[in-house]
Amino acid sequence: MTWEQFQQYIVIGIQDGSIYALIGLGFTIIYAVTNIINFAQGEFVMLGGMCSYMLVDSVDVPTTPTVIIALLCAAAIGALIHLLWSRQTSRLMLSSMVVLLLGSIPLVLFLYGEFASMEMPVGIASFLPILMVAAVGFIMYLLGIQTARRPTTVGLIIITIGAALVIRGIAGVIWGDKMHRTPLYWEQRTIDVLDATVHTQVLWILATMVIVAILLQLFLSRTMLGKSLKACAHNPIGAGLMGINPKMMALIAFALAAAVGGAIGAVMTPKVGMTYESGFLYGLYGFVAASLGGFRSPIGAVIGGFLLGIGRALIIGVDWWLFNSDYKDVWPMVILVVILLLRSNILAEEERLG
Amino acid sequence: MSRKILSQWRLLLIPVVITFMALVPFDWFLGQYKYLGTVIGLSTIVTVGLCLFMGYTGQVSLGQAAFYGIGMYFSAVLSSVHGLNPWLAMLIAACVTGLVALLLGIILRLKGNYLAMATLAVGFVVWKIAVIDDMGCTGGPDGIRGIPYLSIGSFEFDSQFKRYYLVWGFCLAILLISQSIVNSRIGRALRAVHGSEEAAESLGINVFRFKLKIFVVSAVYASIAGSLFAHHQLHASPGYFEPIDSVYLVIMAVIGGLASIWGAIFGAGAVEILRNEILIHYDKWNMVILGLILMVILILMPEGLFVALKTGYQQEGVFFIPRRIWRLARSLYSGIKGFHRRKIAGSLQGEPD
Repeated sequence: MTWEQFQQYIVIGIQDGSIYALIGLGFTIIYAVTNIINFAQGEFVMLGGMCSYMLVDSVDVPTTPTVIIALLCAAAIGALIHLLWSRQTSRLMLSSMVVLLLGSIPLVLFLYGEFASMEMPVGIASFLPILMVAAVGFIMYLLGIQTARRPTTVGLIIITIGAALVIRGIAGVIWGDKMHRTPLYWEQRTIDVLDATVHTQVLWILATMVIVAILLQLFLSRTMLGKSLKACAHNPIGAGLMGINPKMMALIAFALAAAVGGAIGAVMTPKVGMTYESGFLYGLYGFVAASLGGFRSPIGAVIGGFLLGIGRALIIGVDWWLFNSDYKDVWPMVILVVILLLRSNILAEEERLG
Repeated sequence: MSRKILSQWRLLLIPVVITFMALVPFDWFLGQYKYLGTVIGLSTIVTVGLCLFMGYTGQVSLGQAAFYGIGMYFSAVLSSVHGLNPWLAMLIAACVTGLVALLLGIILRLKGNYLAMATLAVGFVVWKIAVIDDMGCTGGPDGIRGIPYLSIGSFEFDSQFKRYYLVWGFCLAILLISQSIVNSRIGRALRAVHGSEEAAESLGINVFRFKLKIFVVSAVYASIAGSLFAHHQLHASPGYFEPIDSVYLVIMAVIGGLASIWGAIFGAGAVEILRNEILIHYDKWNMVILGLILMVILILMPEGLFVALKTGYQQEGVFFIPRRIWRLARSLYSGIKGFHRRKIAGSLQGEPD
């Protein structure tokens, strides 16, 4: 492997790493708050990509201003949810209605677009999926997890697997077997950094990762809601005594994780494409990233994601003995099992303490 | 009262079911479903192992199809490429799978979520290795052909009709063995482990060893089913044990009732009939429907459909289903009327009125 090739593989690694990092973040959010490993996390990513595809289906003009507008919209909606949260009356009802409404807006727009052949710029089309997928995560928690009777760990795992199957199946019905891509955000395909050729979409993926991670960090450390979420992750019973509703927090965690998944799914689709079956493998990788980072720390998940992404790219690059592109999917799984085993004592202790 | 009826029915039921199963492959009865029947038998064998591991021991495995695959490939390679006697190949395959399970047994130190992920990863790795085919013995994605039929002396299991009985013979034997495992000291120990590992440990049960034993047993079951499949289909390929198949096996175990040996037939039958006869006309909807079934069963009756039906019948007699639906609807209605504090999701189980 020459120096130029090495740089090229590092770029691939950064691209994959950002993707895995965000999926891992989704795992961490849900796991920290609810102790559930959400097997549908990969499906959220797939849905994000597919929704963005659905929205830009007949469109070929990507523009940057729409992305900025989309981010402003996101801020506005965040503020709205925050406002609703600070009211005391029946927050569950209100916020569920809000999220459902928000989720249905893109759907209405889409239907309108179908009938009036409206064209949706790719910027908006890659932001709206976040809401749609958040709504899916929200519904999944309300209908699947919260209604479970006498929930056990094994039972909840299987419920999330069932949800994953349902989401995957519906995606398969709607979008078929084909691999879908959305147009690139910038017209220029590649730029040169040092000796490597960098696909412009990789920059977007990296930027999304950084922005989401920073926003999440700010959310968790600066807002009351985020702090409640963290409190719940540390000690649900104690948080409950302080007037925080753990179920509500779990609901928010699911919606948040789904939104994070949807975001990365929408941004990566122009580069890597998406089929209805992609979610499974991305979910597994996200889990590996989360396990590298110790499951409970968002920053750990990000670092784990980058380690995994770059490591996997280098395995493809090395091409020696069993370290070649055939085995690029095998090694992460082996590492996953090894990490789990090395940490099994700590994990068992955590599980016992809840 | 209803219990008595149940025992009377059971006396009648067992011969009826056995005759029914025995008559299925005849052409004047349900001859066209011979193949389906055989597949159900194979799935039942794997599901019984999964029930032992998941239902009785309280563990979780999302990689059971891997053992099925290992058994299938060892049988296929040994009997077709190396020309070994199929029965010997099957025995070796079972031993190797048991050994693999024994070595993998170290992952049983994990629990719950982590065990699920670790077994999923193992299932994925085994499948992927079969696809990659680095050693040049698994035939890659195309798999292996030219596998001989099983035979006893000069009697060859060369027709669908004969193989149906072969598979169900194995299936019955495995069901009976599992039944006796469950009713023995081991079975009681397993249930203690399920209840509380600490409590079981304090009673002098070596928890890890028992989990390992049952893991190996379930792996060997899966391997036997895989070997039978190889000699039945005369083809072995990675397509028969994809990671998603492990999930389907879990669905079978869940429908049959996790802690129920005989429910496995019910679960395997339900899922295979759904997949092969009904949902095949609906393309991708099958995933949606199976996923929904899985979710609904685990949400409303975590002990499994078969077991829920059985206990419901024992408690309330023949018309328990309409009664419970009525009660569920009523509780849902009152739940909608007073959204806040009341319990929204009523249950098929129902509280006493």
